[in-house]
Amino acid sequence: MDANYIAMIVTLIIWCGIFFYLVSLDRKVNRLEKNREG
Amino acid sequence: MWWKLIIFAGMSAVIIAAFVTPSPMNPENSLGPVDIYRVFYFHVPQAWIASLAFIVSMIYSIRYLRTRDIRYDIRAATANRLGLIFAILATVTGSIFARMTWGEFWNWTEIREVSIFVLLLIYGGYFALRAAVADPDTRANLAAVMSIIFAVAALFLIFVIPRVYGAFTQHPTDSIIDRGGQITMGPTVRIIFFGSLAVFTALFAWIYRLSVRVADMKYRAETE
Repeated sequence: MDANYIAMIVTLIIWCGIFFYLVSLDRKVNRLEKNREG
Repeated sequence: MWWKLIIFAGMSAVIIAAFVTPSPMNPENSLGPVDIYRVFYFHVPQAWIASLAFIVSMIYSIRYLRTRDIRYDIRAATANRLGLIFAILATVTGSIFARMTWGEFWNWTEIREVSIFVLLLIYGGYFALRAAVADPDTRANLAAVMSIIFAVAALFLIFVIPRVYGAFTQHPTDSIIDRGGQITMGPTVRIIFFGSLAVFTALFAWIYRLSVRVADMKYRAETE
């Protein structure tokens, strides 16, 4: 397999990890803010 | 949620385009493997975000000094933290590029590498100072003054010094705009590059907003 495709797949996996981590953090912060207000 | 999906799709598209399209460097002019020049699509936006974060920090530091509102100090510190992270990422990607094209990860006579090292040191000093001062008002005052001075120094180190001492750098200087002010990239490279800049900026805005919310909550928990 072309090295460029391997690099692309690895970069995409890292990006997906960062994105879903940020989404989960966002949800957690929303929940904490709602708890504080409640 | 829709804007998060746009960021996700945008960054995924940039990554795919960066590796699927031909390298941004002409093979005849390439130093080392031509594919390493693909790092351009990530390295330059990382350096741009670091500069943007330092400017954001400077703006909030000025607002803090005018109002003495601690929320602005929190925003300034958060921007500097993200700026430092993106500056480290730009240094790492630049160092990999240097190894593949110039033969070494680090060269102390390369003015671009020395200037980014100085920048990392001064922002390391900023966080050392924040950690060393216990009183929140004194810390915020000192940090705001440092942040303003350091932001000016950062822009000087990133944009001015490497150009003034052009003889001491191998770093490409005309890869985006030439000395005549014309964009030097081809149409495909231009689309991917400016797309990458836009997506990195949106990603920074998201991470910054999230970090500020976390820092605000932490501050409220500590003070209440």
